[in-house]
Amino acid sequence: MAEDPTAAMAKECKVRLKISDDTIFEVEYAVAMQSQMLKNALSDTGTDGTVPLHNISSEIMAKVVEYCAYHVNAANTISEKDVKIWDQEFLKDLDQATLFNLIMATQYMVIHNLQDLICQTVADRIKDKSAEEVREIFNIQNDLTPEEEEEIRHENQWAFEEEGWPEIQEEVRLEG
Amino acid sequence: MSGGASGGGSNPNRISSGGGGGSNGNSGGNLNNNNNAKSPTAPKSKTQSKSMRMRMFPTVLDDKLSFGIWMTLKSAIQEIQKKNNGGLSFEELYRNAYTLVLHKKGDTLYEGVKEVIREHLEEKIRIDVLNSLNNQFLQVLNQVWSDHQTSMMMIRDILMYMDRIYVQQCNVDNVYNVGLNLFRDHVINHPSIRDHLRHTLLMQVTLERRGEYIEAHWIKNVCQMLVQLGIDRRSVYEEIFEAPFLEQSAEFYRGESQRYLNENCASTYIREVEQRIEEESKRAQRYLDAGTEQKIVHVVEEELITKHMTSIVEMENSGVVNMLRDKKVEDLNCMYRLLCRVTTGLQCIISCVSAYLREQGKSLVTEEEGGKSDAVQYIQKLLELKDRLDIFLVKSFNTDKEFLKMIAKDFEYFLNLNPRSPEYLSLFIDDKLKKGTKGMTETEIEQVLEKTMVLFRYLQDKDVFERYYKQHLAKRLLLNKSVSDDSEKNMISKLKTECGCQFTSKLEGMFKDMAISNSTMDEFKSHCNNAGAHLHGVDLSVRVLTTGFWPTQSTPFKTILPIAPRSAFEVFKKFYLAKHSGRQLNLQAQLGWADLNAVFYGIKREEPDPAQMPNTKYLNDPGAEPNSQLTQDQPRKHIISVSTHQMCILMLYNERDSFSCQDLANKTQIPEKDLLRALMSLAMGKQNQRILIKSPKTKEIEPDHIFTINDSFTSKLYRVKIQAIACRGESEPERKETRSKVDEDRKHEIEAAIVRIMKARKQMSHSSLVNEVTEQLRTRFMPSPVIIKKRIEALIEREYLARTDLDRKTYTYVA
Repeated sequence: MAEDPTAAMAKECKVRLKISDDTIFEVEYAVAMQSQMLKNALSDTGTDGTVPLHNISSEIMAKVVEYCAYHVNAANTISEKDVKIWDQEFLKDLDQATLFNLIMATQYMVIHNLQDLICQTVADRIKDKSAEEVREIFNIQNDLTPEEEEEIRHENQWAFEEEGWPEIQEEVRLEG
Repeated sequence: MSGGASGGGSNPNRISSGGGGGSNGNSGGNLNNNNNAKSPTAPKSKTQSKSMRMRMFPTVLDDKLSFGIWMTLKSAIQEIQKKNNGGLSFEELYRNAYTLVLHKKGDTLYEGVKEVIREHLEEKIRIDVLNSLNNQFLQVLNQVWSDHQTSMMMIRDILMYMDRIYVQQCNVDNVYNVGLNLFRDHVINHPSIRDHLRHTLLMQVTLERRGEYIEAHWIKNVCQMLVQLGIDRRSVYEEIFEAPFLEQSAEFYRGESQRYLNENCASTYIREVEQRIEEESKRAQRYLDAGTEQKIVHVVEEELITKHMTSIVEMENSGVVNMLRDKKVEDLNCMYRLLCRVTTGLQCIISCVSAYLREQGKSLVTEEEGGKSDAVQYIQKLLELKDRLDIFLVKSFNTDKEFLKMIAKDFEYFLNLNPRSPEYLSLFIDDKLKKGTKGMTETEIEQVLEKTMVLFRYLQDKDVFERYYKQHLAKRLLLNKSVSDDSEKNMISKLKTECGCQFTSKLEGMFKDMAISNSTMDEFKSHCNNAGAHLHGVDLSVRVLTTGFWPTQSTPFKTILPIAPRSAFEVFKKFYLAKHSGRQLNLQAQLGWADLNAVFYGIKREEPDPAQMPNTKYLNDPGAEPNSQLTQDQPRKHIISVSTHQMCILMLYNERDSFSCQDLANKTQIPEKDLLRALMSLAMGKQNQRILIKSPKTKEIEPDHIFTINDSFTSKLYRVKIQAIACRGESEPERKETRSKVDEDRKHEIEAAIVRIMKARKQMSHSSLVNEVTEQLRTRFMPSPVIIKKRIEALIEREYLARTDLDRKTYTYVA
């Protein structure tokens, strides 16, 4: 297996990614390098061939490539604030299914920043939702008996109290 | 995400293209068929749009399938190990591993991989290495290691998912480290291999030390391998190579040190040591691990330097002392550098140099009993010693601070061994500041004075120096011997910087007096002209000195001056006292001088007919007695420059030609020792200086010896200066006197210090008081605790201090 010593030359190359429905995505070397797995694959096998990625649909692949292409340049040229805005836009209208597909894809391909971004988005979506609603979203079967449920709710009551600790608030005011 | 129960399973049998058998494409991502573009494969039980559908996982990867996957991977790994990886698809293997881990078969995979690697190492690699033990061992070892690294990296890449997920979760070693551990355990730590490796490496080093050529890069690679095999610790490297290496080296250098010592020459020894250190350093850099360099250098230092440093430093005929004597600056520098490397080395060489310096210094300051040292030579030699040491300091010892300290301490030590050092130092400076200093330029004088200041700092009894300096300065100023005012002022400002104003205020006062005297004299002259005062033919010049600034005569003045100068002085006195009322003027005879006009009549004691010499001013011969004439030579006139005492003596010879010593004493009332000194220089100096003839011609002067005018006095010069007897130092009694004055002053200073301190602190214990006093006075002199105690007692008596009732050792201030 050849290593990749002539990195400069390789940068010019395009990498061919063949996905499940035999569509071929051609991306630039730098873009592909955002994926750790692709990086290893290419260094081990060389850039000549096509890398097959059977797990991934074209729609998901498109999204991934879009993200990676943007972020290749983002590091150097675009301000952090703008990048954040773009990221939010990128994920805004995606439905949950797509999101989860994306997560699986990024985990497979080892793209850290995108994975973190998506997970964060999902987390935001279930924030402040009741248990029922979360179950709906994730389609989880409720396997707790009513007693168990009551008990758990009771134990965690404190986290739901809004008023916090009024005494301490008073003290703070006094000291301040 | 828990495996949901929604919807039926999607068929696990969809075979993805391009993959090896059985991989379940739908582990994870969409199993892509053209059928489902966007929506999940699971049957929709609820609305699609916003709600999340669980991915349809095959809940169970059945064993047969997973075994199949594993076998694929296993054979792939084995191919990689055989360097046959060309035909493998990275992505497929990666996906296989991914699948297994995802379906909770991570441990099977992990253990399986471990087993494959171990098998390969044990059954192939180790055997290869064992076969090469006597045939290109290092080469083969290097090769298998390199191969191992490459294959492990590839294996790691395809198993990356397992590394990230399974390894993290179960907290086991990652794949690469697993490979390292296995290599270490099954190849390197195999007894034969390990021992042979160690032996080979050590042998190579030994060969190189003997000067043979070796293949260094093999060793370098092997060392790096050993380091890497320790993963985060150097223990493998240390155990297999470094520790035995250091031990072998220590033994080697033990032998070497003996060999070098036997050559019995310190300078060759140190050069050889330097060379060896250099060599070992380079070797370590070339092919050993970075951390070894320091250790091996330390070993060399230990064996060659630390263990033998005393022998080298003190080696006979070539040790440090000899180097100092022979001025071997380079050798000393080399020695210094070497000894600095080890902790006690610097101390060793410092003590040796210090001992030498003290010995040298001591021999310079020690005088024979009763012998008179030449002060200028004394100081000059000390300055030269300092210069020599300074050269060593800079060139050999790199201006090391410890050496600076040592030199200062040693100089302080031996300079103060001789109590006459302050006096001599003052005399030396006096010599430089007097006229006729053999044509030294201002800058040269400046440099010399700067160096003397260095010695001054080492003096303990600075107040003794002050006293002498005052005396000498007074002489210089009054006898007009100063080479330049600027140099004098320069010297004083140096002393001021060193010791503060108190030291120099009196000296500056002396200068002021001189200036004032000059202007007073000008006024006096114009006064004389205006008032027509008559000075009895004496060209008078008076210097008015403020008492207290100038060193005073102990005995009051009772010498009888000749009439003419006496009357002239009275005129001046009247003038001065009219100007400054309320002052008192006392004549000080020991520092005056006079120019006399003298006529020498030739061999016979005769006097000329006054008529024959109409032009001469017989200033000092108002009552010349006529004698018979018959001279054979022409009478010769000279101006003689003499001291005041000598003037008194010589003026008497206008009455008679000869006097006895007792006569002279009676008539002039000059104190005895001054009289003797004056007579000595008049009668017993060099031939062309003998104004008087002494009979009998012995060396001592007794009261009944006769002194006669020497009419056959001749001199090439018209103006003859009668030299005072060279008083390079005081005589014993004078010295004692000065000493007692110093002690007297010190008493006062100590008492003043005590009172000052007690006034501020109100109460102090005895020991802290003594410390405080010593601290305050140390710039002038070192008071001894005994003397301080005496002064405290005296002050208690005079009720300045009191002892407290509770504690006899504490004092209070009595207001």
